[in-house]
Amino acid sequence: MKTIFPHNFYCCISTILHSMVFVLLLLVSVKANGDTMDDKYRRNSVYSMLISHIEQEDFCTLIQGQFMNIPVSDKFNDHNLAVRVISVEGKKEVTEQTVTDFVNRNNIASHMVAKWFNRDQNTGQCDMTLIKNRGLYNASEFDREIAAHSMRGNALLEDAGEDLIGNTYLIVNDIRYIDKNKVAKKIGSIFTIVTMVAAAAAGAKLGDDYAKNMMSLFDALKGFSVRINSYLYQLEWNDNLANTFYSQCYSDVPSESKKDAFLKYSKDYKLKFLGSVTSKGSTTSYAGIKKRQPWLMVRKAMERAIDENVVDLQKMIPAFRAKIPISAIGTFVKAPIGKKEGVEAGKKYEVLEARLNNGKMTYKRVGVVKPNPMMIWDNRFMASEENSPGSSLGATSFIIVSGSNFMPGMLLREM
Amino acid sequence: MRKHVSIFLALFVNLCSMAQGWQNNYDEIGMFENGVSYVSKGGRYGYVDQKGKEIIPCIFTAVGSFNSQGLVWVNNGGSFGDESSGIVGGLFGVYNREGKVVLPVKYRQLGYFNSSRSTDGNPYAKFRSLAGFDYGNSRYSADVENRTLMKNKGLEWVAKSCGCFDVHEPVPFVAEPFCILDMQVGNCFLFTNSTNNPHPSMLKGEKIYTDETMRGENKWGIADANGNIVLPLDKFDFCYNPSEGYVPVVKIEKGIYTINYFNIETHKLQFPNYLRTLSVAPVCGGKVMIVDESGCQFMDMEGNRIGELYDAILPSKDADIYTVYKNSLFGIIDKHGKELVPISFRLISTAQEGLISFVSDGANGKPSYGYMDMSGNQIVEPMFSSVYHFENGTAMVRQGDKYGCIDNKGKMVFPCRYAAVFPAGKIGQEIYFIQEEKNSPIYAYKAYTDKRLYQLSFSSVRNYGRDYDDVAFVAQKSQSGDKEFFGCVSSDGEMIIPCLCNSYEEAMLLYFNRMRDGYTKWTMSDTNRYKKKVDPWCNYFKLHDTIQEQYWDY
Repeated sequence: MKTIFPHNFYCCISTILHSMVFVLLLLVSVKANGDTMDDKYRRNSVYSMLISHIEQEDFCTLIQGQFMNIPVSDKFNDHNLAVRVISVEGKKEVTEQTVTDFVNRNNIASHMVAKWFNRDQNTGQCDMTLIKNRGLYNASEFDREIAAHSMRGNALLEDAGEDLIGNTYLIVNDIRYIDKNKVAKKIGSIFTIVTMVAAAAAGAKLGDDYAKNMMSLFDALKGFSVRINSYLYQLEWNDNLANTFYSQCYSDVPSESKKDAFLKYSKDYKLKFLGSVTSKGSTTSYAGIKKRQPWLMVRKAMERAIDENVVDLQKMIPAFRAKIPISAIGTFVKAPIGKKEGVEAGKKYEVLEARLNNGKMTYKRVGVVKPNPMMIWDNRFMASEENSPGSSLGATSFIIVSGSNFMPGMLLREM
Repeated sequence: MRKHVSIFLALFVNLCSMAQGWQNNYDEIGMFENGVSYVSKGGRYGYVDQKGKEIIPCIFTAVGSFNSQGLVWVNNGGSFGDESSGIVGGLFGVYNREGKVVLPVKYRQLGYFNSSRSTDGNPYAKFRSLAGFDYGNSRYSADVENRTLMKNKGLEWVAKSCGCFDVHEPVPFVAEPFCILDMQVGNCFLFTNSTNNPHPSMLKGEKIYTDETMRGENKWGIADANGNIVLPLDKFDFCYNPSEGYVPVVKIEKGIYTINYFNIETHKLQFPNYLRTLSVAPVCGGKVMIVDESGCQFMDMEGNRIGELYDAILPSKDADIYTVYKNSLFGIIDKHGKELVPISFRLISTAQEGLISFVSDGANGKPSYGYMDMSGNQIVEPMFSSVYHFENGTAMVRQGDKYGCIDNKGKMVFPCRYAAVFPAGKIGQEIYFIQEEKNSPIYAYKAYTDKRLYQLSFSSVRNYGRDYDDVAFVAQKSQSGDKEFFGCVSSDGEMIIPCLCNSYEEAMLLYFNRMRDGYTKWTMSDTNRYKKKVDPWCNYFKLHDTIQEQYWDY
């Protein structure tokens, strides 16, 4: 009987198949080794706010509620303050100028500085706990050197200022709902639905309308998309500000004079506008959303759009780019970063070695890597629920472009 | 070799196609939970596993969500009405997580046993166990929900200390999309082909007993989680939840209700004749309580009466003993009907933590409370004006207007000389809060001593361990005295959370959040900041506003 395929074809296939098995085994072994993640590394600190449009009354409350549920990414330190949401009435246009005016008028920079030093508004008392924690300093050594006013102590403070306080950002997200498919009904009782949803989450037993309203909400949210304008600001911190603060305003005990001095100098603290981006406004798939939790549709759309904006801002502003630690070394370099942080084929990442020398943190490039296109982790919100490829990876694998002797704990930063 | 390669190649291609693209077959895919998710296409619903294989075909009008027993209801042909919630009409069935049909899709309604008790006004009230007291005699009527007894506070106290013979009634299941089928009671569900099942709240008063039209319209069947028929459909007029292998069933004839017990194993009625009883009780320890005009008595499942006839029988909450009532006196019997405590006490509690409180004449000739063990041996002679129920090994007691505390060995933790002794929060509590005189400060005392440890300047306290280990939540009056603020202290009296919260609940939430974050101590500043963080007014400002300093937490 004549064979359909020639002999050498089968040999070729055999070789390919054996190679695939070999690669699979190799991947399994890589995954099995060194999955410990070192989460002790310095992060940028972020304060995230929402501008909510009251004229979009149907969904304004829903958007606000879901925004507050979005956690700060583990790639950043949480520098949120109590005020997170501000509203705009009518169809007023929100611009970079109006946002900057708000930021300056309310002296948000001074509140962000106060948070760094855990400043008590009532007594003026401060401490360095947050600095020590986020800066990963040896706490007792830090206290000792500062108290001794030593050169090393000064260097530690300088380092804290430059690498920590100076890497504090404010992102103001102007979020509007887009009724792209014109399917949203004026549900009228949307506020009631939202209230019922909140009550259900708290374990209250609800009436018979609950399920019916959930269905209406689900239908209305199909095709839900958001357009988000994100404005990025950076907290300014320089030697002058640091000197004034430490000498005039910092006190580790209650002090009326230091408290007043801080208020006096509070106008000196500034947030510098770095740039803004707008999300694409594409419709988010509702795959993975249970019918009885339709509000997750809102969160999914918002969180993904905010993530996209953060990635775009990082592209635009190198200082805002996050540094992510390598979690495992093997055939590939692995790091807990993925599509949420904008990882995609073709991008390159520098490998940095971080050292604390004489109180100062330095970063030295020791190599370059690029993501393996077949092994990019999909860590976006609800990626696993929608069965997205790569959602179960846990980390992205990177191919080494240059450099060697990489170690877990070294940092990756997009180039 | 070629054959092996061909097979491998075919398998590989098959795998690849399976791994991709099955999602494109559906309009909607839900969230995977325990390996399965609902899918929808063309308005029809089903379930798939993670490989995309349909375990429940995508042909149903509506589906529920899987419950903890791994069952899900489906409906075919129903619709959503405007006025009512849930699916109306169509046929229901039940599947399990493996895709096996547990109940075929041919029943008009599903049901479950209501885990809560029905309210008064339910005509089946006569068929509920009313804590053994009310059988048409309003003098001692007891409401099961709140254990109140009319006209006699003492009986109220007894009823509150005891359990009751709970039976649960069937309730039609309101099939809202993706809701779960409730199988909490009895680990079973009900099904019927009747669509006129009256909801108990529709039935009013005793008139329904004579309503012939009610006959035969509540015929339920019962199935367990494996689909085994516990009670066949259309056999009995009414039923209650299964217990110990029996289902109490009801026959309604000319307005008269009689009961029998359906043996689940033999699928036969246990007794040759239906029983006329004023109460339906579950099978407990192989026996049931029968109530008629002459009184209450246990009966075994052979039909033999056990023990004496009593005016009332009340089960204990945590021991296999029963408080019995006869000729205005109480006693205690065991499960065999043997008297443990003679029926000679005016009032008696059920056993709590091994001790039974009773009322008898004290040394002063006045009725007083004492304690005995479960064999009827007196442990503490009657000398208290009142006693409270045991909790975490101790109980508050009173002599005159002074309070003390006793442990479950009968030893006084604190003698009766204080204005208030706050209850223990946990077993083995070592520190108690005591108020020595009315309106005086509260002190922390070491148990079994008269040693003051420290003073608390609080207006009220919840004792250590009551809410969280080793901390006590406290309240302090405001300067004006018209309001209280709440906080938390450690076991050595140190303030963990200052008294700035508006309620105990707020203070507890604060404590929980901060302990979760690893803080061992919290300052006034931390409390104020947290309150601002959760204050909704902080997020009510407009873009053109200037936000006052008080709304910032730093």
